[in-house]
Amino acid sequence: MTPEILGAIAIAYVAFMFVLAHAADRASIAGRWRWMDSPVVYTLSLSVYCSAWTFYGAVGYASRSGLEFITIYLGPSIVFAGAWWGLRRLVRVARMHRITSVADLISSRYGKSPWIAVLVTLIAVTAATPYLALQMQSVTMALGAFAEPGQKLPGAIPLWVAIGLAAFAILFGTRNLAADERHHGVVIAIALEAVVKLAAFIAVGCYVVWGLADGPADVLARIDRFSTTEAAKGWIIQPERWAVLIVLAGSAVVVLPRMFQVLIVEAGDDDRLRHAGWAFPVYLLALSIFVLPITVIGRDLLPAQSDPDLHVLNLPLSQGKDGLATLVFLGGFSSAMSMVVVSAIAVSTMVANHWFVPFWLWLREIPITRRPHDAPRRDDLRSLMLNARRLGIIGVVGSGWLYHQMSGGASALAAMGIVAFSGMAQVVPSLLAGMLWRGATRRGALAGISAGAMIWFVMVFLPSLGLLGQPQLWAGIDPFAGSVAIALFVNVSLLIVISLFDFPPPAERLQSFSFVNGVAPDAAPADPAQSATAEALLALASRIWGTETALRQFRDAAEEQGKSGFLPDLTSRFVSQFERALAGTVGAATASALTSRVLGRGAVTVADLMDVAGETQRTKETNERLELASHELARTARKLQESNDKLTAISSQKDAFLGQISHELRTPMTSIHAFSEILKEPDLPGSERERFAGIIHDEAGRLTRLLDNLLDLSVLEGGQARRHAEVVNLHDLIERAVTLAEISAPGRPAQIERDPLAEHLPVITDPDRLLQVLINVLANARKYCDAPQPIIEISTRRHPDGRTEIDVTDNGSGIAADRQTLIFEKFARLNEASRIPGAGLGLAICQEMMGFLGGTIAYIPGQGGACFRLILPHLPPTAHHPQ
Amino acid sequence: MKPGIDVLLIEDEPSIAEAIRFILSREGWRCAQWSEGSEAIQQILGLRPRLVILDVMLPGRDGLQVLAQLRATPEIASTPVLVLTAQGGPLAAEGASMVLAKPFANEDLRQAVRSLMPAGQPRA
Amino acid sequence: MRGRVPEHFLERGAYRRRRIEEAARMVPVVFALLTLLPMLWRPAQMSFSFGAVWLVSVWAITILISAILFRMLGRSQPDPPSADTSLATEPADDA
Repeated sequence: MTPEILGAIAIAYVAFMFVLAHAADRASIAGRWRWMDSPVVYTLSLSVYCSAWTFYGAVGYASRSGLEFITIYLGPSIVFAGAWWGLRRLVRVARMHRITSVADLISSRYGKSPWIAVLVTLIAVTAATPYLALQMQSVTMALGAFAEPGQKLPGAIPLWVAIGLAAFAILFGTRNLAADERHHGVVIAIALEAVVKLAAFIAVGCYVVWGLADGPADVLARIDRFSTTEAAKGWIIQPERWAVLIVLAGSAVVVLPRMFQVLIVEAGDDDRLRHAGWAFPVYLLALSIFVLPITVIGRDLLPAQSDPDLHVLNLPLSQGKDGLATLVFLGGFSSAMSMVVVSAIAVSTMVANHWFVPFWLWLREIPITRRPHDAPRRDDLRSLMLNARRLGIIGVVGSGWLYHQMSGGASALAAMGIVAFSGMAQVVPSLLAGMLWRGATRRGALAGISAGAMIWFVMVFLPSLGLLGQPQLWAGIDPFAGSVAIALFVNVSLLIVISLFDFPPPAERLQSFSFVNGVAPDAAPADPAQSATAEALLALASRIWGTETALRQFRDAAEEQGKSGFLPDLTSRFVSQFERALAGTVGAATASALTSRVLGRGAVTVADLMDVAGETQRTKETNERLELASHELARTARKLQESNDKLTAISSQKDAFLGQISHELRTPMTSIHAFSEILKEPDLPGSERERFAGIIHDEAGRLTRLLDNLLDLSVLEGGQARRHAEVVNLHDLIERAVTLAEISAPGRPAQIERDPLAEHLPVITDPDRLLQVLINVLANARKYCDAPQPIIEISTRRHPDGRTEIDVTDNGSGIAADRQTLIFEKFARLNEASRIPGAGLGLAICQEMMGFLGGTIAYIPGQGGACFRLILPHLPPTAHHPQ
Repeated sequence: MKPGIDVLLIEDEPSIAEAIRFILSREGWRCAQWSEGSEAIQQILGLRPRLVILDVMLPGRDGLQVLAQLRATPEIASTPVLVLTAQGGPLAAEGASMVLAKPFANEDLRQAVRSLMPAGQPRA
Repeated sequence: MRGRVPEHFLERGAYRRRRIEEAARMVPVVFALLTLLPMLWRPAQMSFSFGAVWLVSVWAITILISAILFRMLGRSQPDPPSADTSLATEPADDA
C-alpha cells in the first residue's frame, strides 16, 4: 500500500460522498428518502464531534496523560443524559426563533444585538482556524505513515485537501437559502462517515484486544503492569484538569460551531433528542472503550520513538495488515472531512450573516421594498447572501490551510482541540444565563464574553501557539485549568454584576421573556406604520428567498388567517413570524433591521411589553381547546368577512353592470345613429359622406366586438363552449400574442423582455383561447403600466408535475391590495379616472378562458409592478364543463 | 380662443363629438369642444359659451360633478346645460337644464339647443 | 411552567409521568457526581485499570437507564402541539 494508492482511494471516497450528498439533496426536494430525517441519521451526524483529533489524537492523548482523554467524551455524555430537559429546551427555543448559529442565538436572546454576534463570530473564527489546520495536518500525517522511510510526500497535499473540502462545503452547504437552514446532503454524508470511522476504530480496537493481546483481562493486566513504571507518573489524574475538561467538553458539544449546526440547526424537531440522548453516548463509549487498549499495546509493541498519535495506524501497519490500515486511514479521513465541511458551513454562515451582510447593507443603503428597475434579477439579495457564504467558506478553510502552512505542521497543533473548546466555552455563561435568567442583559453578556475571550486569548490561545509562555499560576495548579477557570470566573462575574445594575430596553426584555419561558413572542412589536403593506414584505422576502418560496410562505400565512391570495393581514403575529422566518436565513439582528426598515416601525415600547404581558396572562388562563376554537372562529369570521366584502362589492358592481353595459352599447350606437341620419341629408359633399360612412363602420365594428366578448363570457360561463386541444409551441404563441397586442392596443411603446430559449415548451391546449388570454393580458399591461418607460417581462417555466407557468410582469406601480380581489370581475375597471375605452371585460374573460382550459390566472403581488401568472395544466380537462 | 362661442361641447368620444359638431354647425351655431372633466370649468370660464353640452361619463372628472361646480361658480352659474347620458334609466341630474339620452335623434338635439339657447337665434 | 397549572392532584398516568420526568432530571446529576467525585477524591487509585473499569461501567449503566427513561417518556407524550405553524415550521427547500 503506497501513499499514491491511498490518495486515489481517498479521492474516490470523496467523489462517492459528492454523489451521495447530491442524491440526498435531490431526494429531499422531491420528498423521498424520508428516513434521512430519522433519529438514527441525526445521532450519527452528531458524531462530527469526533474529529481527526479524536480518531488519531485520543490515543496520543491517552499515551501522554492516561485516562484524562476520556473527559472529552464524558462531558458530552453527561450533557446528553440530560437531553430530555436541557438540550430539548434549547432546541425548542432555537427553532422557535429560527436560530442559524450560536452567535445568532446569543445575539437574538440579547435584544438582537449585532455587536454580540460580531464578537461571538470572532471567537469562533479564532478558535476554528488552528483546529481546521489540525485536520489537514492529520491527513498528511496519516499518508506519511504509509510512506517508505525517506520517501517525501508532495507538499501540496493539505492544499488539495482544503480545496476539495471547501468545494464540498460550497456545493452542498450553500445550494440554496431556505427559510430554515438544513442541509440534507451534508447531513447524510457525515452520517455515513460516522459509520465508517466507528467501524474502522472498532475494527482496529478488536484486532488489538483479541488479535494482539489476549482479550480484555490481558489489557487490564498490562495497564496495571505499566502503572508501576516511572512513565506512569504522567497518567495520574490532576483533579482540577479533570473537572475543567469535563465542563469544557460538555460545553463544547453544544457551542462549537459545527456541533451547534448539527445538534440544533439541522434538527428537524426536538423529539429526536429522546433517542440521541442515549444513542450518542453509546457512540462515544464505543469509540473511547478501545483507546486505552490501543495505547498500552502500542506502547508495548511499537518502538519508543513512534508517534503515539499514529498508533491507530501504525499497529496494523507494523503487523502487515494493509487492508485494516486502509480502513483506518479512511476512518481518519472521514473524521477530518466531516469536521472541516460542517465547521466551514457553520462558521461561514456566522461570518456571512454577522459580518459580511450587515456590513454590506450598511455600506449601501439598498432600497429594499422595491426592486430597482435596473436590477435584472428579483432575488438579488439571495445571491448576495449565498455569495457571502461561499466567500466565508473559502475564507475559513483558506485560513486553516494558511495557518497550517505557517505553523509548518508543528506538534503545537496537537493541543488545539481543547484550546478551541475553551475559547468557545466563553459564550456558555451568557447562553445558560440567557436561557435561565430573565435578568441577564446585553451589556452584561457583552462584558462577560469579551473579558473571558480576552483572558483566554492571552493565557490559553497565544501560549498554545508558543507565542507566549505558559502563565505561571499558583504552584501545583495546572496552568491550562487555572487559566480557563480564571477566564470563566471573570466572565460569569461580569455577566452577573453588570446585569444586576443594568436596565435593558423593551425589545431585549421581550426576547429574554421569550427565551426563558419558551414562549413565541407573537403579540410582539408596535403597529407598523400606516403606509406599510404586506406587499412590501413580500417584495423583501422574494429578494431573499426567491419568488416561489416567498409566495408559498405568504400564501400559507394568508390561508392560516383564512384569507385567500398572497397577502396576509399585517397582524403582529404574522409580522413576528415573518421576522423569525427571515432570521432563519439572515440571522436575528439583520432580520430585525430589514423588517423594521420595510415596516417603518420604531423600536418596541414599554407599552407594547405591557400588552405582551397581558396577552400571555390571558393565554395562560384560557383553556387550550377554547383557544383553538376561538382561533378557528376568528379564521372563519375573517373568511366570512372577506367573502362578505367581496359580495357587497360584486353586488354593487352588478348594479353598475347594467348601467355599464348600456353605456358601452349606447356609445357606439349614438355615433351610428347620428351619422346615419346625417348621411340622409342630400347636400353632403362626397368626401364627407365617405368619412362618415367610415365612422359608422368603425363604430359598428366596436359594437360587434363588445357583443362578441359578452357572448364569449356567457358561453364560457354557461359551459357550452367547444374545446379543441392540440400541441403548440409556447414560443410561437407568445410571439403572435406580442405582435397582435401591439396592433390591438397601440399607445405607448413598451419594451418587451423575454427569454426565448425558456419559451420553447410544447403545451397541449386550445391555442386560440390561450392566444386570446395572452393578448388580453399583454394589452392590459400596455394600457395600464404607468412607468415612464414601460417594460413588460414575459417569463415561462415548466414545473416537474407538468404544469406550465407564464408570468407577465410590468414595471408600473402595480395594483393596490384592496383592488386585487376585484380585478377579475366584469367591468371592474381599475381606475375610473383614466378610462380607457373597451376595457372592463378583458380580465374577466381571461379568467373564464383559463378556467375553461383547466388552468388559472392570478395576480401575483410584490413583484415590483403588476404581475399576472397563467398556469396551464399538463392536459386540458376532457369534460365539457369547465372547473 | 375666440370670443362669442355659442356651444361648448364636453364629450370624450371623438365620433360622437364630431357628429354633434357637424349637426350644430350646419345649424349655424359656433361650437368648441373639450374632452375631459377635470379642467372643464376652466374652459367654460375662459370661453363663456352661451350653452354647455355635457356628457356624464368623462375621464378625469364626472360630468355631474362638473355640473355641480358650474352651478356653484357665480360667473357662469346661469349658463344653460344640456346633459347627455348613455346610461339607461332616468338620470337625476341636479341643475341640468335638460337631459338627453343617447342615442338621440338629430332633430331632438337641434330642438333642445334651440330651446335652451338664451337669445334663441344663432349669431351668425 | 407545567407546575403552575392549578391542578393539585393528578390521575395515575400523569402522576407516573411526572415521577419519570424527575428521574430523568436526576440522571445527569448522578452521572456527573459519579465521574467527578472519585477522581477528585482518590486520583492516584482511579488513574489506571480500576478507574477505567469504573468509568466504563458507570457510563454504560447511565446509558441504559436514560434509554429506558426516555422511552417511557416518549410513550406517554402529552406535549401540546407547537402553536407556531406556517411560516415557522414548514421546511421550504427550493430547487
